[in-house]
Amino acid sequence: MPDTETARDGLIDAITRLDDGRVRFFTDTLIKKGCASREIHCCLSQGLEHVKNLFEKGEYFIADLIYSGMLCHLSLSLLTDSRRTPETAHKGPILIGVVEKDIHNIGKDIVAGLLSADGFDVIDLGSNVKPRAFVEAIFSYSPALVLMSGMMHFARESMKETIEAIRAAGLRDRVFILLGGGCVDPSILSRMDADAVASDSIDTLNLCNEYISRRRS
Amino acid sequence: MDTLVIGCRTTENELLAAMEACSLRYDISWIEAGLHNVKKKLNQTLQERIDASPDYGRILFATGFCGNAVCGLTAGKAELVFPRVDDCVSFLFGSCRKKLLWNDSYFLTEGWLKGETNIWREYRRSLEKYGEAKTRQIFQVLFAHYRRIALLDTGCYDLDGTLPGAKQIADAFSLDLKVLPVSPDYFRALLTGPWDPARFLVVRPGETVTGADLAVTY
Repeated sequence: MPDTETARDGLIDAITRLDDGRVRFFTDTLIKKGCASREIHCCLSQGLEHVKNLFEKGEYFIADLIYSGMLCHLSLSLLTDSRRTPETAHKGPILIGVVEKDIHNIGKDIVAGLLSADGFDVIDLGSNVKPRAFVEAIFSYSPALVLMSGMMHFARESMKETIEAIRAAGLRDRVFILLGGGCVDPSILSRMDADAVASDSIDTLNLCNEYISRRRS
Repeated sequence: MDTLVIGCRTTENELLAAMEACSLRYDISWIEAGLHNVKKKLNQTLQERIDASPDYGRILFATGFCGNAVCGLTAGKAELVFPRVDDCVSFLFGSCRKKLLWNDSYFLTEGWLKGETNIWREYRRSLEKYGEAKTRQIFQVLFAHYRRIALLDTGCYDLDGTLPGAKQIADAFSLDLKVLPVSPDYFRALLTGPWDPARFLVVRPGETVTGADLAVTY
């Protein structure tokens, strides 16, 4: 069995090279070595960053981006299954959806898969989700976190309307609102009453875990 | 005042047809469709084209806001004019509202099918790299929320010659195929002006495009 450092490098490389067999092997190795979940997240994040760079250079394509998300899902599923305890298995409900007027779901689906594999109870509202549907789901499931995703330009307007609907329903103070997707950047927080903007899928996972940890402490 | 048009290869047929219809002969600087995959790269390329065109008084962008890739562009001596649309599909439809009626469609024209990163090439590449089972999984994710392939009939290319390729894609992903007529009127309005602020974003020389400028026309 490789040592921990070799296995860490191996996992980063396996994600970068989109090698499912090696992702499985090095994740298993790190689990057996007792590696902290955060370290495995960090490897996945670095691997995804390499995949993104290769995409930007034109060496990888959209299918490769999607597959890299599926590999992260695989790794996190192995991790979660190995450490499933009453505490880690249920980080509570989390709501996710692509906002109204947008159907670009790839990023949202990758994030939903990662969150689910990491022990969140994901309520996936799908795509083109109306503000009212977000509000109704908050009433129904009482999530601590609400994730809104969008790629199209006008998704920003839909995010704003959804947040206003949540506020109008008296629910704003009960949820942490996280925005993601191609239509947002950190500057949007100055124009929108959200709590944070995520830059990518692993950043989303980390922000959600940090929020849950803060609430518990 | 000399005018330059920045055109995208994706809508080359439509831009050239509009130019012809308006009897205009503006210089055109073409950008490759594949640049759209990386917002940062598209933004850099557009800024380079602006900076490399100091002799023009006006630059017309025959594009949309392209995932807000135009945000941060700074005009040099030339005024910049952009149609107030999120992307070139809305530009072809004539408004965002008309496109939104078909929001669950994967849009194609001949221009898209000619592109170096088109979906069929992506599919073929994926089959070679991952095999059939993994490719099926990947494309199930990709097409999960699309219900149809919509071939936009702009009247500017050989529709009959393009239909078989579109049908092949629709069949491969078990989607319906629909031909939707659209009109390149918005292209003509961009070329001729006047540029109504409700339909066009006009950036004065020396000014920078900000996020707040990027309101689209519904």
